Amino acid sequence: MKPVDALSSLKDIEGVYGSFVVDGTGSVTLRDLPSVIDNAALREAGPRIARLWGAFPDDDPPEYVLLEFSAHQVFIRKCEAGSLCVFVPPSVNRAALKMAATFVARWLDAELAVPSVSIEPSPVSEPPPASQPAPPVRKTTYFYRGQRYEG
Amino acid sequence: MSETTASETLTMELAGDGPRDPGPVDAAPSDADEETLESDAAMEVDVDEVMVPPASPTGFQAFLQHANLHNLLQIEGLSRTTGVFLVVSQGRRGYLHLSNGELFHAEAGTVTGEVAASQILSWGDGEFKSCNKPLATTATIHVSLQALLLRLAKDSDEAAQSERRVAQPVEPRPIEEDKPTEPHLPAPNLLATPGDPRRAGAPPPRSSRVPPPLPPRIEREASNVTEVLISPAGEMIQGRGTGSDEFSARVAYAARLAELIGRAIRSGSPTALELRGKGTQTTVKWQPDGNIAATLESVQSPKMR
Repeated sequence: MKPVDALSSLKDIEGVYGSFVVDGTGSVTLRDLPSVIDNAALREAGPRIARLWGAFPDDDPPEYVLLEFSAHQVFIRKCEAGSLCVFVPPSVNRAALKMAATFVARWLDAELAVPSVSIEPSPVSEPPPASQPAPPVRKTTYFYRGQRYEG
Repeated sequence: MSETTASETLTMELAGDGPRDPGPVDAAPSDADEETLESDAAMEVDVDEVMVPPASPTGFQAFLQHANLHNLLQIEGLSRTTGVFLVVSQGRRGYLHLSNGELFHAEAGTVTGEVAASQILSWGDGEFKSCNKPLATTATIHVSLQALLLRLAKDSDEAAQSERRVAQPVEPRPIEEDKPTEPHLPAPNLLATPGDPRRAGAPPPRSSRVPPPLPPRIEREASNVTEVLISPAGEMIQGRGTGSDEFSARVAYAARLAELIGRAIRSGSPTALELRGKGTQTTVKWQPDGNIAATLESVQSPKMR
């Protein structure tokens, strides 16, 4: 399945107009929207959407934001890939939308994730004398798509 | 050679580049408009209605081959135009009335309002021009232009999708698949004697089956609520609950971002905002006087009884 197909799956929820994804900086990375919403509008809105998560308390991880306008709403779900934004009418089945957005966000996170290598802070120590052999290189363990790798 | 289909061709005629009001209905056409008016007549358009530019024209006339009506209307929306536009397409004609860029009335034949706007905006080719028709005095469209265009785009997507589904051949299913998955109850006896509750028209006998149990009640912990009322300038007018100062600052920031997002996507001002975290829910509402009311509730995980 292509990422844009994942976004299209949100249209299974009755009334969904379309959706798009912005990354952590607010750049648009995916879109499945009618041409009525042009890319210039998304470029302008993207950074503001990314900054919305800053309005949450520090000790409370954000789940979603629902922005209501007179005629439609924008449902924004936080995910590792950034923010998944869905245009919906006010009459949308919100419970179904939340669930569908959760599935799509998980799928996007799994597909678009960059393998994260855990970097351990190097211990502060005196440099070894030049005559001593170099210590063995420590292997780093990391996980990518559920698989464990070392290297 | 570029291929241009009929659906991609739209003519646009504008008589000014700024906000416009319809000109006087009885203005005399100038020589420069003769050609335009002749073509209008060919399309069964009332010559009197076509906008007559003033003696010193202030705007451009454009012939756009790949424009669609939605884009043209969005341009007028962004320009905050006030005026009436005549749309002619394949012998059909309609009028779109705009005030400050917002579509507030539409006419197509005998229909008006959103139905007429939907009809007109579904036309794929034709002409779009300013006209002298007076602005309607009452609004028949109460949704924003953006919302209307979104809805139409969605309807069009769904229509195209269902057409594709129809076009796909349907494979015949083996008869076995139509077998019921569980034994059926015997059919009611329609020939039962009068007075018999089982006769036709009488409600079927109640099932002796016990209905499934209701799902367990969800009980929430008593919530800790913080409420604030903020002025449009971001000052806290009222505050109640713990941490109301910090909460009002966060609300003012989120509300400002929401307003900017609404402006960017041309959806207008937001009416409400909900921020849901793992443990808290913030509800923000814009009030008619411009103030912003917000509530912070701590939301505990639902507990099953």
